[in-house]
Amino acid sequence: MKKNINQSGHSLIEDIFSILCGIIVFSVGLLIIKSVGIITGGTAGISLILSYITDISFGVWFVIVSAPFFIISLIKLGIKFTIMTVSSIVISSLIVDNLKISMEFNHYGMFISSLFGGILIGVAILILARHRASLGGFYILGVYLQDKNIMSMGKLALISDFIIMSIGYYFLNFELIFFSLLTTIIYNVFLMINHKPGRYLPNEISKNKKTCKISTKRNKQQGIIRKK
Amino acid sequence: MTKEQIQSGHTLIEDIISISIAVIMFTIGALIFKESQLIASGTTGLSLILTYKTDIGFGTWFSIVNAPFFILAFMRMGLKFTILTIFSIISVSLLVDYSPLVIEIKSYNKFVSAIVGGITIGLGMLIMFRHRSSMGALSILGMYLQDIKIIKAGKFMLSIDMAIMIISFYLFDIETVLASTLTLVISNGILIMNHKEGRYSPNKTK
Repeated sequence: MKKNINQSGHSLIEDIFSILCGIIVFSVGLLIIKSVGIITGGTAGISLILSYITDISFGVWFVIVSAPFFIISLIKLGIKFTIMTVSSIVISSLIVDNLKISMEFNHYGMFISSLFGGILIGVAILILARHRASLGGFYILGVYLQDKNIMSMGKLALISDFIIMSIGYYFLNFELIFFSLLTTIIYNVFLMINHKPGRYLPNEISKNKKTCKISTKRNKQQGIIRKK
Repeated sequence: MTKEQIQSGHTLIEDIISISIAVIMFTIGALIFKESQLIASGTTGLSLILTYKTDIGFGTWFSIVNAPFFILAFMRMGLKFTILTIFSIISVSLLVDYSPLVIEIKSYNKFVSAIVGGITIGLGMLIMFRHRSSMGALSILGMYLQDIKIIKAGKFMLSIDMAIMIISFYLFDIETVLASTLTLVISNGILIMNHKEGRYSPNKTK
């Protein structure tokens, strides 16, 4: 494998550019959701609940909540993935806290806001996952489990999000939780449809490795590549 | 052009869901642009200029500007592509005109909205291309030119957008033009970087 092609099969410049795009899309989606006062799943959801019930801003909570998972990431998924993830989380925290200086999202309808927010977050997470970065704890766990073929990323996210929603029900009223669920379902279904291991690897890899014709074989190949 | 080239390799349901998502991404981008009076690429940019200079809404102009190219799409790209494109264009027109009723985006800095809008519009177009739909006349032409291997879709659209920028120099102030140029670089950069023929077609599983 060529040196300049890393794990995701993209060049480093492509990775950085795409991850920046993903972060910005994620932040916009989150701001839309935050303007309505609903929550989402994952560590972002936990941070949203905490930022609603305390005076500390979302960005600070997001970094704090994600911190424990950095260690898992460092041990299990390698230094490059960890650096990408830590910088993604820090940058998105900064954007979410500070974008209100130049842009504001107001709402008149919960449905549209949760739909738009869910789609933006789903697209962002998908971009990040395809470039092998992530935006938080459960995605780190999800990427790890999916690479081991234990569980697909969407399923893990659905389970963890269900738990977070149940916790959120203590703090928010029924309407807010209903639309939070809608948002979460939208982006989880979106991930389940689109994030399948080996499906969308750029075809350059298959040119290098002639044996990679079937996706299952390709997964094994990927596993070997990553161990080195 | 064979049938296999037209099919994106996804099932019809996947295509429809993804295109709807692309439509919404595109709408958010267009709303951001409209709010901060920026100009986007291709026919979107043309419709935005016309919207700022006349009283007619963006949706109407967008449908009118794109209409002639439906014939090209139908002749060159087949029925499915044409239906998907018409669906995309009409739903974007309706959404951009009517979603201000339910969601309001305020912008205080043209360059920030240029970056955010450029990325959402670029991603919307990218999703559409991957699912073999498109968002407007110039992308149809660009996609056709790429298919017959004359010029890359991204490069073709970049040169068209340069022309739109030169026109807008005469109509708008320098800040708008600079910020719009930034959006063009971003959204076309996403396309050039990501839309390579055959690179991302899904691997067929048994």
